[in-house]
Amino acid sequence: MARYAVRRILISIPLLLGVSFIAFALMNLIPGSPLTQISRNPKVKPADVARMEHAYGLDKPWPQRYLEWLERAVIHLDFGPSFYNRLPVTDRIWAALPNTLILTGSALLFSLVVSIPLGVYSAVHHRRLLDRVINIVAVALYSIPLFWLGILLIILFSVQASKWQLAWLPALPSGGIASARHGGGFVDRFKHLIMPTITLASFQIGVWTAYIRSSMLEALGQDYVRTARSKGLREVWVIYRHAFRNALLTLITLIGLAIPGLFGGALLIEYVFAWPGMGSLTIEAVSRRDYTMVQATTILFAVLTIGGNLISDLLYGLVDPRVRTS
Amino acid sequence: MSVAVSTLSDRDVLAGDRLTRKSAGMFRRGMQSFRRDPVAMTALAVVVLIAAFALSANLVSRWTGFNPYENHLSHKLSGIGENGYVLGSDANGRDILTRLAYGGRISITVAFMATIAELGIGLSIGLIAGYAGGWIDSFLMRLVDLLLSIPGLPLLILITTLFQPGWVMLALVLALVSWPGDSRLIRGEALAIKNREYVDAARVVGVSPAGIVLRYVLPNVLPTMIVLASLTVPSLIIAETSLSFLGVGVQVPTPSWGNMLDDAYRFYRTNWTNVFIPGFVVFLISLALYLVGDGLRDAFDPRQSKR
Repeated sequence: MARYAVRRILISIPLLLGVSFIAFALMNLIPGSPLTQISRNPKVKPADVARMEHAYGLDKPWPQRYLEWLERAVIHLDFGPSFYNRLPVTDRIWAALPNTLILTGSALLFSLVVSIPLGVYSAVHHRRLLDRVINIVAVALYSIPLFWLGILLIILFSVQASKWQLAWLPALPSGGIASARHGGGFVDRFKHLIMPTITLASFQIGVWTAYIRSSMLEALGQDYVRTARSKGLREVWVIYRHAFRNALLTLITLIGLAIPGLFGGALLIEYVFAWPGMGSLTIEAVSRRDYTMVQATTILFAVLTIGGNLISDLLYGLVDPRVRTS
Repeated sequence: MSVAVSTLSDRDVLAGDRLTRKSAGMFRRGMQSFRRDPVAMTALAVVVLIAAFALSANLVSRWTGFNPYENHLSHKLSGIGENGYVLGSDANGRDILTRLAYGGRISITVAFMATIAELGIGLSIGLIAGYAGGWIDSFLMRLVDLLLSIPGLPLLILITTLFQPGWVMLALVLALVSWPGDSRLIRGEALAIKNREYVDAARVVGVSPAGIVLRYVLPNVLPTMIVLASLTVPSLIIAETSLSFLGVGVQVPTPSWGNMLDDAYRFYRTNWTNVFIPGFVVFLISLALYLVGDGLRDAFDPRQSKR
């Protein structure tokens, strides 16, 4: 297992380098320089532009800049000064990262808690009415644009509830991570987390319910399930102890594959719910044309994805010994 | 000697042809069972209806009497049915229904073009990697690993922010970011087909690698491509909508479903229908397309059948 783990970790290093190179190269493919817009301003003197170029290191050839940037990013975890206000990008990222992890983590948990029973139920009651309903609901869940669902939930729970005689619906905060006044307690934070979590989880619930259902169907058709049944084991025992444990294997891979989508979704959801995470940071940086910030957040999203895939691979190796030797 | 070789070649190539023709029969059978699937056929009808509505945007404009770009500031944010607006008006007093058709035309066109480009790239890279093998395969697949480890949406946002593409380029960018998954799938299929006997036979008689790929491998991955296409279009419609919603996709004043949502988002507290309507159409067409895709998969690949 140790050898397998070391090998998997080593594989992710070139990936990280490649990702950082792509993000850096993209920035340098922009027509002109990032300072083009500033230098077009007639009030800005060429000398000032040259000074700014020097300050951001833009006067050096870009391969050299890449290496210098890489060195700072890897050794000092410093992604350079923001193009918008020259404050260190890293500080903002450290503040935003935990919030994104809380949101994606709770969405991951919530979608597993919902989709596992749904998928298993659906497979066990194959071709019954409720199975078909679950199937269509699952497809519907991954057809909904996430941000739209988020706005609808806000309209329903935060804005219109009283207007439409829907006062029985719980009133939920429309955005942010905690209330400004008397906020910050556990219950308050939890309330703020509910709608973003449900919205972000909805897509994964749809995808995973469908996958768990089909992998359970496959597992239920295997010989060892028939053997277990013919031994006279209770059905619940057969389903969870024999079939589900094998269906679980695909689920671990699926979680790894879902991670990029989860972060992409988080980006939209953070924007809609004003959640102060990496996604909001990215969108704010985009609107300010803050190139260093967008570059840093893109790379960090990739780092999180590679890390997530690594964990999922290691877990897979842990539960399925065949993977380690191949 | 040459005669002997040529008879061998004819027979084997014929055998190969018969196999490919058999896959054409599979294709026809697939379409037949698709036609018998009520959910998929209903979904297909919904797709056709929405697409027809969007593609006849000019007619919709003539029927409503509104130009999609013309502002009527005295009638801004009208409700449903007010001031002659069937589905209300937006913050500039433009008719929602008319803009829905024009926006749909752009959104569907972008997604459609992007799908063709994405599948084109994915198919080529997948076939090359799968058939060539060796270092070409390793190189291409490492590239795929690399691209798959960057979450799509942040990467799309980075690229669209830097280059500010028009809507044609936007389709290309969407394709460039989303092909890696497809090429991995196609590569797997190409690998499996490559080792079939009729491919060996064709190789023995001297059919060129390009000829083998085009005549024997390509027809066999066609069903997969059709299913993939029907699942790619909705995912790209949602991607375009998301980007335009964030302001980095289709740029105003050109309407798209996404930037209509962006416009409406600012007024969701007072005019919730303006948010609801474009999003609902996106949801409806995506759902219908996914159901069509599910139906196609069930029809073409009974092993993976979900029903």
